[in-house]
Amino acid sequence: MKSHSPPRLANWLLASLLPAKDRQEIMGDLAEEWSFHVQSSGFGRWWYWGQALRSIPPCVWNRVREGYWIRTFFVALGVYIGAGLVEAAADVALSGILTSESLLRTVLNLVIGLTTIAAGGYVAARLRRGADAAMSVIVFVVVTVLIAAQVGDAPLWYGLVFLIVGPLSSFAGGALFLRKAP
Amino acid sequence: MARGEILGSLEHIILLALLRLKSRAYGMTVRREIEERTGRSISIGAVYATLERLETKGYVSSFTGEPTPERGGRAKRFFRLEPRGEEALRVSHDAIRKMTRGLRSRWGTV
Repeated sequence: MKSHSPPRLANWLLASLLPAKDRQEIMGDLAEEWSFHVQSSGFGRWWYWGQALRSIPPCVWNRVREGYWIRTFFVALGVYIGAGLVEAAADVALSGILTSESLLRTVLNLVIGLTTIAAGGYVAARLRRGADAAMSVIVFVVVTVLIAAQVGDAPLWYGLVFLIVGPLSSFAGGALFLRKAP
Repeated sequence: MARGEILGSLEHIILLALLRLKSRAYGMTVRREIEERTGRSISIGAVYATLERLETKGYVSSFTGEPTPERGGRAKRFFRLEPRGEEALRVSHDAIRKMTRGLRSRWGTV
């Protein structure tokens, strides 16, 4: 059975990563070409995925040249620092209740950390399209550096969970905003 | 166009597509025109990135059309070749013509 709609994940990637200036036109053109020419062919989904993945880099590069992603990076960095402050405040509050060796405190820190990153992704996407993706990259880089430098006394599994789920949380927060946005 | 500035190959091809398509030129038709005539597979993103560079240079202008259902309610962005773009195309084409003069025996079709 053939699908009548373009791949949803490819559309989500386009909506998340394409700069706002190009998004409507590119997604509209792909939807039109899909409905008229590609849908009926056997390789339609491959074609759509190829177009989506090949379309993002030149548009993003255009925005980098115009300084779009520099501003986006600083919005993401600001939100990341804000989320970090909230997380640190929660950690201080927990330290009065639980000892640092407590597994419950580690788990609560993890839940609070990932929740603040997801909320940060939501806020970042609301402030500027693509800032949630930039924040995902920041989270990934920071956690990688912290694991490599062995900063703090948190167990390795804690760092690895943050490394994998942290960037996804930021994306999820951004996706939540995109779903609600008109 | 600054003296001596030659269009990039994709810029050149896209301006020629606009010249051919006239009032029907928007992202999808430009992409398909190039693919059908040259056999070169090109992404819609590359088309827009190049058109925007050309618009910044003042070679093309754009305007937004009406949204349509088959586009998921999204509007088309039409592009139009401006006199500066046509001049850039002429200068670039002239340079290529001069550089290929005398190569007929090598390629046969020049």
